[in-house]
Amino acid sequence: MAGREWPLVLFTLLSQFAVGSYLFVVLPLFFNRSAKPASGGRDPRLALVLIVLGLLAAAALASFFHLGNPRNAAHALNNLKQSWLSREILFELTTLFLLIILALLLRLNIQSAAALRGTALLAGASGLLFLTSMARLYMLPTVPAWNTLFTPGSFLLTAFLLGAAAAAITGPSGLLTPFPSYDQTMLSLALIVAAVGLAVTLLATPQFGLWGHRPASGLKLSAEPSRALFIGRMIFLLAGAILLAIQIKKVSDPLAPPSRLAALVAFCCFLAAEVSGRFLFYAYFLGER
Amino acid sequence: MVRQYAFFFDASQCSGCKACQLACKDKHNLGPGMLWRRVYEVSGGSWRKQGEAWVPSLRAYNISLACNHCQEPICASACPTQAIWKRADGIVFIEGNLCIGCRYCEWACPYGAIRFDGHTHLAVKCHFCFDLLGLGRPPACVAACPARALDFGDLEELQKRYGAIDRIFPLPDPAQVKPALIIRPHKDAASAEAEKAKVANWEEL
Repeated sequence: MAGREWPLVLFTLLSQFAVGSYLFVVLPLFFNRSAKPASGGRDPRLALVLIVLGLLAAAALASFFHLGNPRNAAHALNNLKQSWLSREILFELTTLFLLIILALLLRLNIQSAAALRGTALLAGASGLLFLTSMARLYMLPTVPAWNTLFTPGSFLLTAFLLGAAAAAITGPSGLLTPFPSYDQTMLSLALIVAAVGLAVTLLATPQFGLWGHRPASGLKLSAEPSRALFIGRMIFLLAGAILLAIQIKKVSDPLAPPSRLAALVAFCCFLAAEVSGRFLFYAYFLGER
Repeated sequence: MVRQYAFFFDASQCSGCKACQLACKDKHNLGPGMLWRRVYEVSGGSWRKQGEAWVPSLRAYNISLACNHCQEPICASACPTQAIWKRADGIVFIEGNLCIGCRYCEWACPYGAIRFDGHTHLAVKCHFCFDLLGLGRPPACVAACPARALDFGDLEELQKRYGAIDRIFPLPDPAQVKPALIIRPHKDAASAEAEKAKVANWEEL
């Protein structure tokens, strides 16, 4: 079943990566004076906003493959009063809309810092609400396997981990300059999030973590998720964290400075870890058939 | 006027013949693998030494279950399109024209009552044979039961007649959704959990 949920795996991971990278890479550029783009020409922040928009649009497209009857998708906002799924879609659309506004402001070269910062902040807040409602919709009181704090914890962790790892690749200037000098902040931030991720995964993963309880199954066939998915997540998280730690050590070494390629490999490790973790998440309730 | 239609199930009388399941399938022309009413076979227990003799402590009974047309249906509150709604007579109904096939209701229902139809790509479930009710006839499953283990009617009336038990092992906590269901438990049900009984026929559910 979890194998058949690849559209949801893709949708959740792409959405979380988009929001995480927006928060860690794009949003700071609207407040970081040192990362201010050169005057004249196209604002380089536009490309980054468009990348985030593309990720969110790809996520939305993937979600359609999960629907049995997408022709009725226009009705998906009918139950905002009660359904977290309706709310998730609302916040996804709001985030997309605000990012489009932000892209337009940048494209039209609007110089008002208040307008840019205000829109950028609203898009960030909407993105966080999108992530929150995404996690909340799985926390059904009738599904004990998902109705734990591990669900929002895991979803936020994916967003922050992939976002921070993306920031470690781009550096503090978000690729506004071709070869930004590395400082320790971005790498350290990614390493801290990875360490938190490792601790949460090791301790709290349902059924396999040290303190993780086996979820009750109720009147449904109890799923038997594979331990390999848990071990895979741990190994990839650890590999990414070790790579980042090595890069941090290199910051003070002028002869062998940190490599962007190594940061990219660390990001790929974290991505593999979260893919593994997401299939495990769905397998708790839906099984692996 | 009926305010809340409900099913009564007498586990002490059910032989597990599955006539209810088949009558439902026949009435609604359901394809292979699709069941709106299912009979769960619950069994467990072992052998215990009593003095010099080994005696069985077996527990075995059946639960016939369809949609319980809950008083607080979590499927309806989960549904993003409001395709699932409660009629004035309490029947929980799926409006196919609004369903997007997201399967969120299927996940939310603790009784596994909602199924995804692989042909129509819509969520489907028991609708209490509302067409038969309109003709003054009982639902197909109730009419088919040879042991009269199933009954139906207004929830309050049924509670007066049969009591108010709405959970036996391994059904989920009824407080989550308030099912319109009344059960007369089988004698083995009280100790089934302690004897580690399990649903034994998942393959056919």
